Amino acid sequence: MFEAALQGFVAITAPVPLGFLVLGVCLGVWGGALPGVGGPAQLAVLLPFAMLMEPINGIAFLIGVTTVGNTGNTFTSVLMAVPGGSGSQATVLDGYPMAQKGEARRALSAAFMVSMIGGIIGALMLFGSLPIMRPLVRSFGSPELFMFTIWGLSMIGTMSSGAPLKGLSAAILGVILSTVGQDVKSGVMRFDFDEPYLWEGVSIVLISLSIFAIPEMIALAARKGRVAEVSDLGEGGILEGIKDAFRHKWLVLRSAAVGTWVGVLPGLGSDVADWFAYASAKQTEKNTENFGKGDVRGVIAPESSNNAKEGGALITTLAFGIPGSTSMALLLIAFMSFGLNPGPDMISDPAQLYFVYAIIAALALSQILASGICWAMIKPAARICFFPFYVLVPVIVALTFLSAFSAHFSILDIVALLGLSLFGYFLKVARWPRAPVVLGFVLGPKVELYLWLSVARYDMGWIWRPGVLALGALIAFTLLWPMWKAYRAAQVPKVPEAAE
Amino acid sequence: MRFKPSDLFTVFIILVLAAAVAVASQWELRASIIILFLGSFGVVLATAQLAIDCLPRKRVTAAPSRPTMELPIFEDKNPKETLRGTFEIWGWLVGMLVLIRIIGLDLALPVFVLSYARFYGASWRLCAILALMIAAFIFGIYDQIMHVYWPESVLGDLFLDEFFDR
Amino acid sequence: MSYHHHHESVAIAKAVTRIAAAAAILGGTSLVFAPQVFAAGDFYEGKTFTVMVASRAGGGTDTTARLVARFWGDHIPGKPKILVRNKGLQVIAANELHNKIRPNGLIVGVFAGGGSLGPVARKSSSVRYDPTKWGYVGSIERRPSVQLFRKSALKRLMDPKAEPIAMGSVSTDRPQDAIAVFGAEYLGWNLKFVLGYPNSNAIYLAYGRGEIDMFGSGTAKIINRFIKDEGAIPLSTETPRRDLPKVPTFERLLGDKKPTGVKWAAYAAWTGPSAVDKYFALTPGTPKDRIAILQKSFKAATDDPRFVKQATNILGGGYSVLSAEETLRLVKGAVVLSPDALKEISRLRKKYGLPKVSRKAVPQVAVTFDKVQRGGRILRFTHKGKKMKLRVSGGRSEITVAGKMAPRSALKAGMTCLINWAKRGDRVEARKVDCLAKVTFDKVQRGGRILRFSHDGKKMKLRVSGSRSEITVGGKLAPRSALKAGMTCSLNWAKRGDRVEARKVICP
Repeated sequence: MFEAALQGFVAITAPVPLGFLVLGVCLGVWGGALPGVGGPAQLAVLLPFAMLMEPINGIAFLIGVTTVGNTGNTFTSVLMAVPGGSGSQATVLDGYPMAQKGEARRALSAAFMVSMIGGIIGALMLFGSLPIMRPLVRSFGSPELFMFTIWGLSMIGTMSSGAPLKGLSAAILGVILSTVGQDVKSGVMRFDFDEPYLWEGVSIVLISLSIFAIPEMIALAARKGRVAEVSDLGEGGILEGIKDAFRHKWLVLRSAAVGTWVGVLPGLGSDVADWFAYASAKQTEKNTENFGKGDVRGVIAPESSNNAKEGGALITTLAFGIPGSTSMALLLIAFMSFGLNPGPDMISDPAQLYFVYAIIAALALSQILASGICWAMIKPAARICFFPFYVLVPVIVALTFLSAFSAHFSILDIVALLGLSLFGYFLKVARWPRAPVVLGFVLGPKVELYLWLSVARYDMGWIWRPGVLALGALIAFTLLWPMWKAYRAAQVPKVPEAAE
Repeated sequence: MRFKPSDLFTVFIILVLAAAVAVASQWELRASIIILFLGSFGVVLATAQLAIDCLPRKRVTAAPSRPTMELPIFEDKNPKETLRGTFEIWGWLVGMLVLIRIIGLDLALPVFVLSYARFYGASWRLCAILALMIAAFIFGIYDQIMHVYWPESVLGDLFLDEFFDR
Repeated sequence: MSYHHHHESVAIAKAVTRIAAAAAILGGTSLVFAPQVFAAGDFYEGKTFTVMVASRAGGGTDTTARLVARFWGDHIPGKPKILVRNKGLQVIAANELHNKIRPNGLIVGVFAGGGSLGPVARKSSSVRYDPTKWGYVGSIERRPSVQLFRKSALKRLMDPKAEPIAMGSVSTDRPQDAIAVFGAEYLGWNLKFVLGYPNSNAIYLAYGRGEIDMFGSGTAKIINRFIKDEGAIPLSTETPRRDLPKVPTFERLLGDKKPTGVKWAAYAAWTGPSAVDKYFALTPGTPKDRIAILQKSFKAATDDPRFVKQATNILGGGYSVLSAEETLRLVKGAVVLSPDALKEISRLRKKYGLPKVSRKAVPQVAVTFDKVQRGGRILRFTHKGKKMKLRVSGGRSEITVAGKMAPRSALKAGMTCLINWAKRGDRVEARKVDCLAKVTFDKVQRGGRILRFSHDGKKMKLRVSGSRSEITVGGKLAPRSALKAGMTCSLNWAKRGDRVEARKVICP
């Protein structure tokens, strides 16, 4: 095994494959930094070219492109409140407030550092877990996946302390929004109002742009200000960010573990990795009253997990031949065209094992390269925080419109964006929490699917499965612990109500 | 009873959830159960929230906290100007939608960028740079690499389709 | 209101320019994708040829489409750029191919038979296309489906008292679903259906987890893997497979329990659409010469040794490439479904808890209103000798007059309209009311291809398509050439790209 690992590493670091890896990383970071360009769309365009290459070069190139998008899209999440991709939504919650406070460099630096660490952890977990991953993944069936999604939803109530009812209602609204379109198990077209545009459902891209990006741009344009409310970014932000990453090393490791785990479980969807990590950080860290107001830990947690999940996603793709996302599905097509045979054969066949380790090495190297490239861009990029609104607003709105248009390539995408943005704007003005809407939207289809599959397969007997009971206990702890903390805090003498 | 303007939004949420439940009740159970269950629960939660917000508070409490997962809203030093600015930007957004319908998305976006920046005081040079950046991005990435099919526009229907294979 | 900050603007302009330059350098490889120099000659030279895949990325249809797309461009004269685009649902992509795509031969749709032809056969209300009118390039047929199930579950298969075998499925359009249903109905298989898995990969994983005990697949690699590593045994195949000679076909397995007549026709109808597997089709009206180019290049691409090598890797050996004619023949057979067979399929689906067959869309019929009452809320007319009373709902009925949306109040006695209806509780309610405009042709040009007339004070020019426009004269279908200047006819029209085209022309 170690011989194969060494061969794989040496193969990837040869000049030509390394060159393709660098090219792939550059394209991946660039695509990630521009909303609507990266991810599966970019991969789909590059795939035909990659399939022409020698296998080792193609692997290096494609891994470079696919696994670094979450590093690149931190720029827009932090600087503009535009989630650059589905893995960077949670980063907006604390990243953008940090930029508003003049701490953009610190936020970006911390993000890139933990992205690199998280990505390497994901690669290491991929390396170490191959022999045992099959039985581990198989032990999680539909009932257990349902409990994971409930765990995700339960975090919303916990995190909306101060307005738990609003948080839960918002999440339910998100779940209902996710039901628009055809219900595969019954064939019913839900909430389509006889409009073919709605048959495919509402796109997550539209939801995240209209809930976060457009309302923030409206607020910026309305007050005619700048992103950063301070006059100077100060010095030392980059170094401070690096120190933050090591200061909160256990958070980084925990979040990376969450991300890897979410990536491993096919069917959970990698767009929840950052949310799970964020929520987990909120629950387990001390003094979290500043989460959502520019706490660097709110950036560290999602950024560490969304890179670690790439390693997790590759585990199931390679070990089972089962892709957990569209990007992984496209990668799988490429691997098969190279003559590789993802699945149990790939792990046990020495001739193929060498490619597996080459993939792992490429994954680790790409994380380091991507972070390095992004670090070099921090200083010029952070100056965006001082651009006046009449520079930022039109450019970001234009990019947002383009990104929304990529959903279905229809003008109705723009109409839907504006309609949902109106809703997102009123959520903000009425002080309803917005993130639960997005989380509910992302988790909703999975909640429904796994509940349905569990009942269809096991009737009500699924409730007594050991995994379900264990996860149920975890959810109960998740819900009760903050209530206990709040009860303890309430023993503190009260102060008179502040004037509104 | 204290009914604030923001409570209207809570009423709106209640109505939306109730309407969703009403529509879903016409479908077969397999398709509607999650909506019926969660939607009804949501109506109850939102109504409870409305009641909490509207009923007079008797107990003294700590300073009211904001929902945690929410971006901070800055101290509004000039609410009238901000409100006016809000209407302005919405006007721009709706106007851009109309412009997209008339001249097409690929042309409307650079025009919007140029005119917005210029309207609010950017120099012509800066406006041109921004508009060219957006145009280059649209043409380079969306047109040449992704080969996007742009939506039909009034101008395109009348003139451009004669000359370009769109 | 204006904010003038000259020096600030200059500084910002510099900063913006630097950032843009950095982005341009980083993304400079996009120059690799610059368009080829346009040269006269072949139609496809300098153009982009789009392969529109009617499924999400990564599934069987997408994999097949990308595989072909990879080599197709090399064999099309002019070597156009090939672009692969995904459209999420089969029916949506098919609707778009039929109604929105321009007939210029630059976009080909790739569909799976089950998902795109099944709804047509079942007359689903979401179908707005007619696949028999498409231009066909060819198809790729992977091997017929094999029913695999867990060896350890064998005892439970025929024991109705034991826990049922769980059959995993995506949407019940596939042949393996038909086999499972008919196996339960006629062979007494002890099954329960677990539906709704998002794709085949999820089904394979569910099998590996022990969540389901039976599934079907046509891919040789999957079948071999599950037989070798996962303790699966092949129970039956859809049609004979050379790589599994000992596995009986389902028909043989049924033996003397095989149903006959309408019941067997129902089975054939259920599995029929999937026989087409992955096919490549062009929108109606695509010029014949371009169809011919694409057919020829498709054959050349699939004969290309590089394609054969990759296809063997990805699809497994034993796939077949069918010609356009064979594909069309299979398509025509797949969409024809007798009402009795449809009734039988509906009965079985209901019995085994499968999703209902989609609402049957009643075809529109042309009627003339005898009376219109209560501002358009009630229509009275005669249809097939029977007097009918129809309600028109403000919210649920879709009303158009001469192609434009109109309120109920626009309906008048004496109007000729295309109408369909459905039962709603104890009432019969109009679903679609498409009223035609009555016009007199000023000119008819080019043998009926162009009609000129005045309508609502405006001069109109309408095109008449040989394939998409339906012309009846004196109650019988007629060709375009039957249309003459001076005729007064009822017609409607629709926009097709930048042209206006007649849909239905009814002349006395």
